[in-house]
Amino acid sequence: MTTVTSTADADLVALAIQSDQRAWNELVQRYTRLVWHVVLGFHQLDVATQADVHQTTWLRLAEQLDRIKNPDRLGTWLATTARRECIRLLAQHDRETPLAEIDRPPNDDPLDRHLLDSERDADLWVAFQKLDERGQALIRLLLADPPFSYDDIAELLDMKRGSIGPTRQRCLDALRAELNRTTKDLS
Amino acid sequence: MTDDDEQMMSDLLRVLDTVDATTLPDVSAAQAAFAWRDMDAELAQLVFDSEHDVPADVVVRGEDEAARQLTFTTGDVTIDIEIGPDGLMGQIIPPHPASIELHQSGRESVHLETDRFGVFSVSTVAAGPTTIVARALDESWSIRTAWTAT
Repeated sequence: MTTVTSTADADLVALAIQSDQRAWNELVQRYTRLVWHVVLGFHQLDVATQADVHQTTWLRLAEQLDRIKNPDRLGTWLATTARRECIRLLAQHDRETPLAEIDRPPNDDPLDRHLLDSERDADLWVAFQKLDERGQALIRLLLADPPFSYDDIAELLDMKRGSIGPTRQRCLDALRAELNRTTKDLS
Repeated sequence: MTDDDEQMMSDLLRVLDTVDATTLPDVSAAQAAFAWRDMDAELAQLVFDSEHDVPADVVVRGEDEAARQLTFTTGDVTIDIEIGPDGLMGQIIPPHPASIELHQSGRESVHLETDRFGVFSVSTVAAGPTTIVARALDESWSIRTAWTAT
């Protein structure tokens, strides 16, 4: 049995176009976390809707597989598709949900906190959720695996390439300030 | 980035990985999505979505406030769809009688026929990834709409 683990995306796409389910499964394995990272950047959507967007993104890829112009940039294609679907659903959500309900407080659920080994990690998670949507999305894209290029991130978030660094810095400073505040509150 | 920044990013990666793992969707549904490739119908692309293509503040508030309008086309055949509180209504353009299949990922499909003007409706549509396959009753064409989350 041969393995497809190290096969290039473009080759997997070519195999999948020939109806190779194994190549498709490998693509899903490789990119599920990345798609999920993009979708979770839209924290105003509930988890069920986020899961729908994830599934829609893969259904789109399946149907459009032979139209992908640049299979080497599959990650960007998936991220763009997921992001567009999120924006559509968010617009629908905004129209149906009174503003007061959107402004929900950051998730401080102790269940989430218990997953994290250290108190500091738990504090970092709470602090992260206090970043604005753009900041959260940027950090997630910067941490994506396989990694995005700065050009891809600029395109995905519709921001200038030159403001990625400063925005990241602003987010990291905000996280640090929040962590310091939490520590001070406890002492 | 300073060493501190690098450290913070790697801490964030660890935290997000741990938290995200609890909600990460099951890959089997995404792997099963591949089976939908075999639909024997020409793909109609989404070319208009009222939620996306019209700024929210210019939408006329009225009876159909919650209705979302979508247009899919192959170039030759177009399907207009409206999804609102009363369900889903569709129209084939140019008008043509067709059989309709409404597929939702992970749910039973719904089969129906349009009237002679190509109009059809479904009273309830669940939220989720959706595609519609329309086949002309005279077999002159078969089309399917690009998967869209409703």
